[in-house]
Amino acid sequence: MVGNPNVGKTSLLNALTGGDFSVGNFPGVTVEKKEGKGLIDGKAVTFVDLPGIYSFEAENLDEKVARDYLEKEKPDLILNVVNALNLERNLYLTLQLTKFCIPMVIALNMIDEAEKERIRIDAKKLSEIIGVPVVKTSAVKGVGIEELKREILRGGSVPKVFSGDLQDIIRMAEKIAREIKVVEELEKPEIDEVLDEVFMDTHLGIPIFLSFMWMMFMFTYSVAQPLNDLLSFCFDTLASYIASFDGWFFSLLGDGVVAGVGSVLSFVPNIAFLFLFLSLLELSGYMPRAVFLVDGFMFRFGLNGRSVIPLIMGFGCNVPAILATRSIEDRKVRIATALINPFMSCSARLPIYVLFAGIFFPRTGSVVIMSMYVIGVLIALISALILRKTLLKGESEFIIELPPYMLPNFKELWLMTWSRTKHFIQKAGTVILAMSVVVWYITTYPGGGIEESYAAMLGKAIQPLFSPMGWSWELVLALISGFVAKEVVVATIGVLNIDIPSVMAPHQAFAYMLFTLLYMPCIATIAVIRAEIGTKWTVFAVLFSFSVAYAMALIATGVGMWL
Amino acid sequence: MRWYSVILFIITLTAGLVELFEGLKGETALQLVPSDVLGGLVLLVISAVFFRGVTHEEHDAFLGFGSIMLAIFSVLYILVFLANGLDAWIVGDEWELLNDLRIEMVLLPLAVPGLVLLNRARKTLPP
Repeated sequence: MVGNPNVGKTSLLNALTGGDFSVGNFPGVTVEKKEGKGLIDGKAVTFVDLPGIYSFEAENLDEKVARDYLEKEKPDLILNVVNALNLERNLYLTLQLTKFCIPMVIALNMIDEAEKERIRIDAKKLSEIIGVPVVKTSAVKGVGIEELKREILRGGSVPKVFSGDLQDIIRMAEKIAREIKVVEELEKPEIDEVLDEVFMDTHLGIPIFLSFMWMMFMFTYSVAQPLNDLLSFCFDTLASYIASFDGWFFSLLGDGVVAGVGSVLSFVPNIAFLFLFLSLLELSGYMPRAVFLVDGFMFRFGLNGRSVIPLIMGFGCNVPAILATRSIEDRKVRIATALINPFMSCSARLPIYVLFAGIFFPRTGSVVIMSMYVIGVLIALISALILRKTLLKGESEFIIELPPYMLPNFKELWLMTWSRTKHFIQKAGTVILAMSVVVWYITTYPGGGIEESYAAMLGKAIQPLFSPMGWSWELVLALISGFVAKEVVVATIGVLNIDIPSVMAPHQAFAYMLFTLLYMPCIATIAVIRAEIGTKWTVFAVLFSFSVAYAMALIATGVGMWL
Repeated sequence: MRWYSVILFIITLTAGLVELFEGLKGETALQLVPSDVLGGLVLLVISAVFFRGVTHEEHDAFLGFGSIMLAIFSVLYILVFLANGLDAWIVGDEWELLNDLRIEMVLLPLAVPGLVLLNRARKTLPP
């Protein structure tokens, strides 16, 4: 299935397979691949949904993946999904598809929307021009699906080849669109235009967008919180029960595996709610408009509009935020956004800020805590600028189409949410399981309590590195334990019974908070960074964040001593 | 319906300012209007949408969309309210019900006229 973004390919995939499709990645890249199986007249048909693209110029990863797939896999049939509301842009890709000489069927989708807009399309004429069957469909309403299935079984036909340079193809697409399309005059203004008056208003557009981001934040964390707590409670109870039995195996299973993996799986409600909200924004047609609004600001830092949603989500949790970078088409911008996302202060760090700010800055605690968030944003944007001028050099360009507004279909919303959530569970769980076992081992052995453990030896061994900041080995151990989850930092401080005011001065506490803000949030974050941008960049991310955290903590300590 | 936009503008502006200033001070003065900087800012954005519509030629769109935003936030705070109750039950904490009530929840009925207007004007949104 090939087509522009937002033409309804997923809806059509859903209609053709009855919802039986899975989401994965194309081999070797972090480009989403949807594959589904359907039965048509007793015959099994496999549908592969290629990423939405505008052309085969291969300037971005999606275009390259789609082109490579067609050239190497040589599918039996190309199902070209065309948006009936935007023929010129869609036919540009259709004409390029003819060069592959693979049998093709065109699905002229969203035909119901076109008819509401008084657009009539001569499908028979289009079929004669391109030389392939053309079926009018509405995936959401189920129009034309049976006829499409019949054409798929017939195997389509090899199209007439349209050759020429970029400008020739564009002119041909425009000419064909003019020949086959008739638009009647509308009596009233389009509701899309009316809504755009509000959404894209010069002064209100961005505040409205930020309001929706706040709403997404609240929905993802506050509304999902009971489910999060319920899962945490269940896993904690199970872990404690298993660990209560004697023997290293039960300790490993309870305190290691169940506790560690459970800490990630308890995120699932938050992830699911996030994807639900993002799917709602995408399917409604608002997302491209929001991206367009903030693109100008983000461009100054080498990013584009699509980066802002993952960055804002990072204030809640970096794990789903990094997953959300998947929506960024430009590979280098996607990598940059994933790399800087850990600098956005996630909610797990807040207990640490509250603890130290409450002790050392009782009157100005809220200002100190807010400064952590502001510093995080500044470091993130500056890092993006540096990365985009050095390791990830390149222009930040993207094409965006403003689709019509739609009331999302419930079934499609559910399927989109579930397929992405399932993918998270499968991908993040593998690394978490391994690291949980490692952390359990070093905090349990060789025995005699946590102060005699390998983790404590590690803390004492590493402490000299942090001696310029004047932090004790217990505080360093707390930082190490924070790799599992940031909340564990406060828990470790509690377990070790550290009398904080006696081992730290205010400027050292501020430096500690800064370090907590800037070094890698947790194992789950490392896992999703690896899943999204690869092992090499993950190693870079860990080293980069540690270096920045160390440098900033050192500067804060120095300035504090000087003051 | 411009007069109705003016009423909604005044109500949301007042509530937003109170939430914002209470949030900056760090204390709650009125029961239904909590100290919440970000919640207050959102109410101010909604009030700005209503205000913009008073003088704009596409007045109905601004009233309709402002009402959508008000309705969505009302429903969201209702969900948060219910979630806090459920969470307190799960965790075993005491739930101070009155502390979780807020004015955005009460404003939901006021959004209805704008939503009705928008629904009548709907032309191309599919069911």
